[in-house]
Amino acid sequence: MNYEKKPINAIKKPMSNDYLEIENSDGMPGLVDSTIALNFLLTAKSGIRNCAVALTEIADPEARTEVRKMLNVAIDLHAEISNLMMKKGWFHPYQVSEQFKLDKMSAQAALQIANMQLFPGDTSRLGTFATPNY
Amino acid sequence: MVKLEKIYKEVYVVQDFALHETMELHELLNFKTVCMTTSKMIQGVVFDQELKALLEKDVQQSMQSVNVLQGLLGKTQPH
Repeated sequence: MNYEKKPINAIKKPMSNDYLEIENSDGMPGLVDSTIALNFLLTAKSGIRNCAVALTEIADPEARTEVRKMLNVAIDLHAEISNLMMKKGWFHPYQVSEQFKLDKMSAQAALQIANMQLFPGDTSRLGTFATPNY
Repeated sequence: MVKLEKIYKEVYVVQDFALHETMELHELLNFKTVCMTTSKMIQGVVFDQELKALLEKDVQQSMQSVNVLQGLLGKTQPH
């Protein structure tokens, strides 16, 4: 897979509304993965904060030990995620201007996606599930 | 000395968690549950296999955390 060098930058023209046309999906893998990775990174960050805050409220020694372990694991995972993102070119902590450019582009792409009618019509698919009582 | 140990056990081990401790552990449990579910689901969406591996790692760690938290919460009696 050789999309890593041109992640979000690959989307240059305004996104077409025809999302089923294959050539409009140029650059999509990088956009999807970088967005998911960012979400993952932010969640890991929240996890670290949640553990730390919980630790300040807990007095029980056993619970403290366990939550502390969780906190350490969470910190290591956060480091791994940010290293991966740096390696892939999705995250530039040392070049703020590059990061801003990237974030503006992904915000723009997200706006365009948000404007699409992705799921028109009835999305209740209860008939395809074992839900006789609905 | 033995008496002191007994008191220690009564105070720190046998006793239920305080209400705010239970709340914090419960909130952590909810957070971990949501994270685990999201990381598992999103594995089917990502293209990058390294990212997928990292998501699976998170799932495994979250499973461990959820089990531990459930064990801790099992110590307390619901009031």
